[in-house]
Order: sequence, then C-alpha cells, then structure tokens
Amino acid sequence: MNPRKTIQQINVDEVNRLVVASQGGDADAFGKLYDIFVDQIYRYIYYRVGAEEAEDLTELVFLKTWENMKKYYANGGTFSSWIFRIAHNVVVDYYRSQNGDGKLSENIKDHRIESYTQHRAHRHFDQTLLQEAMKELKGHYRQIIILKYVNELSYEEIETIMNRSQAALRILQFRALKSLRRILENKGISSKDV
Amino acid sequence: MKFISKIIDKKLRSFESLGEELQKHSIKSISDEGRGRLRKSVIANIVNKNQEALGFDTLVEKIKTIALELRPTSYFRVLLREKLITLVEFQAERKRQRRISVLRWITKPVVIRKFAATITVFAFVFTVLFSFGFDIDEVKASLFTRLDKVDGKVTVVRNDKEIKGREGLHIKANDIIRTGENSKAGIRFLDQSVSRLDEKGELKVVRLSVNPRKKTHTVVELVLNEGQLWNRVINLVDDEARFQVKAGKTVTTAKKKAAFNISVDASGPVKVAKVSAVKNKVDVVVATSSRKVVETTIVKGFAAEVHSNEIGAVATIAVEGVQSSKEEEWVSKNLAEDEEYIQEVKDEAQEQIKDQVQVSPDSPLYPVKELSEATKLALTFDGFKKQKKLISLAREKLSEAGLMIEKGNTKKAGALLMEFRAQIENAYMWIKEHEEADSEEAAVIEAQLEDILSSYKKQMVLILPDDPAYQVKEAVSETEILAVQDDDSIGQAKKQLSQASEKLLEAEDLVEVGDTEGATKKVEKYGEEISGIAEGAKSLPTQEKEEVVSAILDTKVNDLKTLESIVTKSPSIAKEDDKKDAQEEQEFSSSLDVLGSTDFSSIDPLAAPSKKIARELAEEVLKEAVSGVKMDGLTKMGEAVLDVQQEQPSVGVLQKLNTVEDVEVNGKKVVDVNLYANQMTIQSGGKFIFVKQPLKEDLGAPKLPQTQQQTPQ
Repeated sequence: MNPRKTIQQINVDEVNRLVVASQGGDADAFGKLYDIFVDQIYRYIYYRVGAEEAEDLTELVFLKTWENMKKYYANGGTFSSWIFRIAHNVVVDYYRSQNGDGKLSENIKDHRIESYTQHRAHRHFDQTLLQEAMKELKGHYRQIIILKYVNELSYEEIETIMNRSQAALRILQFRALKSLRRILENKGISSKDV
Repeated sequence: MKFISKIIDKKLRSFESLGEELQKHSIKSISDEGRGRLRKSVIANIVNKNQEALGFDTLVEKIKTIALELRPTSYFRVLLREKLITLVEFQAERKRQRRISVLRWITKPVVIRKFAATITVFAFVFTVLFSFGFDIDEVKASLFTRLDKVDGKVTVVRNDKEIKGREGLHIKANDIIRTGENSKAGIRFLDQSVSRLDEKGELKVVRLSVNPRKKTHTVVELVLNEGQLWNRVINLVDDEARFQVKAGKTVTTAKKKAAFNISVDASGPVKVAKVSAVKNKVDVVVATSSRKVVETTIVKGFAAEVHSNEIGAVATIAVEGVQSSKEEEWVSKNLAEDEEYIQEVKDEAQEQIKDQVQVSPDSPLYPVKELSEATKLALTFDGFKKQKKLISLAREKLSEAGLMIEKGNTKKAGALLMEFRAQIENAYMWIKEHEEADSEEAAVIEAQLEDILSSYKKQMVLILPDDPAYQVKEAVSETEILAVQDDDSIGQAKKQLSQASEKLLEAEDLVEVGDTEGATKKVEKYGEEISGIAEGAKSLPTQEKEEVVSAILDTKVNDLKTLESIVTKSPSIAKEDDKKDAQEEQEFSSSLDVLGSTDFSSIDPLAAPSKKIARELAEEVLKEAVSGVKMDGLTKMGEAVLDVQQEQPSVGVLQKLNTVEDVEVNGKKVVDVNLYANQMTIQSGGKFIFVKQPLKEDLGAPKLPQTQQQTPQ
C-alpha cells in the first residue's frame, strides 16, 4: 500500500469492498482501511488542532469509525466523506472541551496578523510555516484548504462534510486561498513563492 | 422544357425528404436542470480562472507538496494499528463466545420448558456463563503473527477452511499450518520469535496473546503434530513471557532466548518426539504416565528424545551426538537465516528509534525544538497532562541518544541519557507524591513508564557490551531501579536480582560470540551482586527478610540453569574451534617448513601463546569463575535460609528450597541440599558445602556462621 496515495488515487471499489468486509467483522479488512486513511486523517487533524493532539485525536477518529461501522451505508455518500465527517466532529468536540463555553476557538480571528507586518524577514515556506499560517486562518477557511488541498477530497465529498453547497465551497475556497496568501506574505514569504 | 421540369421536380423531392429528415432531428431546448448545471459549471470555470489569474496555482502546489510530506511516525502508526486490530478481534471473539453460550443454554429441554417463566434468571445465568468462559483481562493480538516466508505448497486451515499460504498472511490462534513435499513455511510471531516448519509438517497455533497492560508479557503456544520445526526465541524480557511448543507428550518452553529444534515422527506405532537445544537452554516437561511428569532443562548441545504411545512415555536425554547430514544441513541453514532475521529486527528497531526523533540533536534547529517544548510545558497547568508530556519527552531523549550513538557522537548521547534518567526520576517522584490523592492518574503514569522501559528493554536485549548502544541499555536498566521506592527493600532486592540474572544471560550471549573474557567479567559481576543482595537481607526485619530470601531462591532456579549453559560448549562452537585449531596448526607447520628445520632456538619463547592455548586458557578461567560464583551463591543462599528458619520457620521458604533442589539440567540434578535444625549441606558439581548457624539458645557472645567448602577426595 503506497502511503503517499492521495484520496483521488484510492480505488473506490476496493474501499467499498473493505468496508463491507469490516462490517462483517473482518479485522484484516479494517486494518487495510486504516492503512489507506491514517495518513490523511492524521494530516487533517494535525492542521486543524496541531501536532500535540494529532495522534490522540487520530486514534479517537478510528475508534469511532469502528464503533459506528455498521451505521455506514454507501448510498449516504462515499466512505471517505463519512470518515472525514467523523474527524470533523472529533475536532469540534475537542475544541468544545477545551473552551467549555461552546465557542470554537478556531473561528476566532487572530488579531496578531497585523503585528507581523513589521517583521518581514525572508522565510522558507516549510511545514512549520504552513502550520503557523493555517492556525491564523478562520476555522472554515482552514477546513476548506485542508480538505481540498491537503486531503484532496472532491467537492461532492466536502459538501457532505461541511454541509455547504458546491458553489458556496468554491467561493469559500477562493477567499481562503486569498487569506492564506496574505498571511504568508506577512510572515515574510515573497509573493512570487505563493 | 418538360425534361428540365422533371429534373427540377426530382431535385425538389430530394429536398423534401431532406426537410423531413431535418424535422425528425430537431434541436431540443435545454431543460431547467441542464441550465442549472451549466450555470454552475460556468461559475466554477470563472472561479478557477480567477485562481490561476492571481497565481494561486503556485500556492496550491506548495501546500500539496508540503502537506504530503507530513505523516504520523511509524511507531504511532504501528501501535495504533495493533490497538485497533486487537479491539476488533476481541469484540469478534466476544460475540462468538456469546453465541456459543446462548446456543448451549437454549437447547437444554429444561430451559425450553421453563423459558417463558424464567427469562430474568436466564439473563443472569447467561451473564455469568459469558464472564466465566472468557478472560477479558487478556486481549488476543493474533494479527501480529504472520507467515514470513513461503516456499512451495503451504496451506493454512482456519475454521475448517483451507487458505493458500502466502507471505504476509496473518496467522490467528487455532490456525493449522501445513507444508507439502519440498515445502517450508516461516512464521514470525508477535513476540519477535520465529519458527520454520519443514516439509510435510503440521503445526497448530494454539495461543497468541499479549497483555494490553504490559506489552512485553507475551505468550505463544504451538502444537507440532508432524514434521520438523525450528524455533528461535530472541528477546523475551518479561518474567511471565514464554514460547512453548507441544509435541507428543513433550512440552518445551523457552523463557528468554533459545534456538531449538523439535521433530515428530508419528508414522509408527510409537510416536517419537525429539527436542534439541542448539543455543542457550529450554525447559522440557514430559508426561511419562497419566500421573507422572519429568521436568528438566536441556542446554545447547543436548537433546531429549521421547517415545510415547497411549499408555505412557519414555524420555532419554543425552548429548546430541552425531547428526545425519540432513539434520546438520537443516540446523546450519536455520542458524544462518536466524542471523539475517536478527539483523532485520535490529534494523527495524533502529528505524523505529529514528522515526521517534522529530529533530536530530545535532541539528541547528534542535534548540528551537527544545524551546518550543519548554514553552508548551510551561503553558500546561494540569499536573497529570504535564507528566504525560514529560514522559513522552523522556522517550524522545532515549531515541535521540540512540541516534547520536549511531552517528558516533557519544558525548551528546551521554548527556541525553542523563536527561532521560533525570526525567524518569522526576516522574517517579510525582507518582510517589500523588499515589494517595490521585491514585488513578498515578497508576496511568506508572503504567506508561513501565510500558516504555519494558519496550526499550526488549529492543535492547540483542545489544552486547561491545556495541556502542550498550550505554543506552544500561541507562534503561538503571532507571528500572528508580521505579522502586527507597523504603521498599523487597522491591529493590527483586529488581537487583533480576538485573544480576540479566548479567548471566549476557555472559551466555558473549560465550556464543566467542568473547570468553567478557563472559567471565559478567559472571564475576553477577557473583558480586548476588553476594551483596544476600548480605543486605541479613539486616532486614523478619518478614521482609523472608520475602527477599524467597526471591533469591526463585532467581536461583533459573540462574543455576544459565550457569550450566554458560560452561557447555555448543556443537557449532566446538566445530568452529576445531576448524580454527586445524588452520592454526597448518600455519604453524608451514612456518616450520619455511624455517627449514626443527631448530627451535630461532622461535621467540616470549611470543604470545597459540590461539588454541589462549582460548583454552580463557575457557578454563570462565569455568573456574562459574564454579566459584555458583558455590559462593549457594553458600550465601544456605546462610540466608538458615537465618530465616532460625527467626521464624517458613514453609514457603522450605518449599522454594525444594524447588531449587529439583532443578535438573540435561536429566541430572544440579544441587543436592540437606537441611537440619541449624545446618545445611549442599553438594554440587563434585563440591561440598557445609553451612551452620548457631542455635538461638546458644547465643551468648555473638558468633559468625561457620562455612566450609570441601571438595570430596
């Protein structure tokens, strides 16, 4: 199993076959599903909540996936959109447990953006910088970028996860990219590099 | 004119038919649905073009490239997979057990008759049956066992269904593995042991389990019904872990490390099972009749042959002797494959260590990483979460030390190991402070620490003193003592005994690689440590003394076996030595030929002795060291037992002393013990010890215990 396969490259028929087998209690099949999705789910969690909780929450996603396996039906959407929906809910629950007041901190705009304009040393666009920049994005901007470009899901799948129409997603995606680019420029990345 | 009009009419008629055709295929107007789809598509294209126009394609590409590099560590990925598969298997087994329990119950006529009236009673009994029939504390992790190698025709029978054997196929408990003619199957078990089934063999996997609370506590149980099975156990570290193979009326168990071969020939009226120890030692139990059992340990170079039928069994234990060329080839081939496998395991452990290292300590980014970790810790106000983070960081330090050693930076490695130790020490202090008020959280932290230390210990078992990574092994070993509190003398003594025994196991390994001098040093170190523990026990209060002496006796059983194994030369080593001697002799003869005469005045008398002589000398020194340590250890044991019995006679201690006396190696008793009121005689290896303790009534002036060691004439 090539761990660097994107979601697009994954054979949908193969996934469906493994899902059916897993629902029948086949541990091998569930193990293979895990192998297919673990990297993607981990990336999703990593960019939404950070490195510290990424492993714990990834584990929680798969535990919940197994617990609810029998509730998944193919006519309710693809398996990948279903598992990402679980991941999304896990992240939401996590933020709620952190804040306690029901508000999601990831939706609070970070006002530090303006203060960075004075510190524009040239920086290399790498993993650390991407994570820093993503943290400064609004919640739904971050989510669309992760689902579309990190996890490479289709619009149909993202529609199910984020509960927005495809047209709305496209507009959101455009605004998210614009916002991300501005943040990266403020952090010292040349406009040529983004 | 008429002719021209005819032509025009003909043309017009052709246009009419064309017109009729055109009317059939009229263009339909676009539906509302289609219009909507088209609108969306147009908008999407506009948005996409906007992205391209503003250069987002570069940004998008960069995001994808960077994100694709992000992956969870191999360690986490493998661990989580194991957890999930274990959970799935556990739940599947529970369902299966529940179905069986229900089926048994509802087919009883009495239940059918009383079913309507006693439904609540049925539910209660069902619950009792379920919990009785299945051990929920032990989780089966069978999916971590797999077919590693398949040559020829290999079949796996699972739930009466035949599956074609292939490399990577997961093996579960109750699977039966069969090999055809000229075929072979290699199995890699969850505890990193490996077995190879020869042609026309049948092997049943009875049990594969790992304790979820302590992952080094593994149990593998197999039954060899037919054929020949090679087994290599490389690194069991837990005292409860075992690798066991049943064949006929024989049960062979390896507890730490061993290489052994088992063959079963069931073709005749009498079944013949043979167990040959090739490296280290194995415990063999033979049921000679329905009520009698023979237990012994066979060390490398020895074999036990058991002939059995329905009535009983007869066991013969002897030196392996001359093997057939086929047997010899089987053993050498497997030993060679084992070397490759062990290297593979070491490489995997090394890769795991590298994966655990986020930033290398010699990287310029390392101070940034440390600063980031320190900040995160400072911002973590919950004590429990902070401890969990600290332990995670401690584990990282250990892995970083391993990486630095690999890179040859021993100074940095040493500093990292000191930090590791300090963090573990802090963690144990926290546990001590919180074990009353926050007992659950303290237990979680303790379990986490134990898990890390035992996992590293398992990885490090293959490391010998000449390996630079040995200091990591020592660091892990030292921190185990930290787990025991200062006022817990019994716990401390048990840990020290365990570490002393490990020195003997290392001595065993060193002998195997030909480092006899290194083995001697380890044996002597073992002797010093055992002496120290026994002396320390004398000053303890009665109850604690009894427990420590019991622990000494428990350890003595295995240590005696290991000491015997150390001084026994395996046939493969003996063969290697013979080859070296022959080569040396040839070189010496050639040098004499060169000299042209037997004029020995030209030979330097101060030159180093021949390699053969040096080796034999070293072996003699080792034998003396083993003998000395054994006798000293038995003497100290005798003194400690008498000490306890004088103060408060203990049945438990006496029973354990009997266990020591029952130790048999290669079918012969190792120790003979006779205990009288205040004196004990111990005989072993042709030597005799007399230990006496003054009776309590005799005590006027203090007297030292009298100890005499005699060698019979």
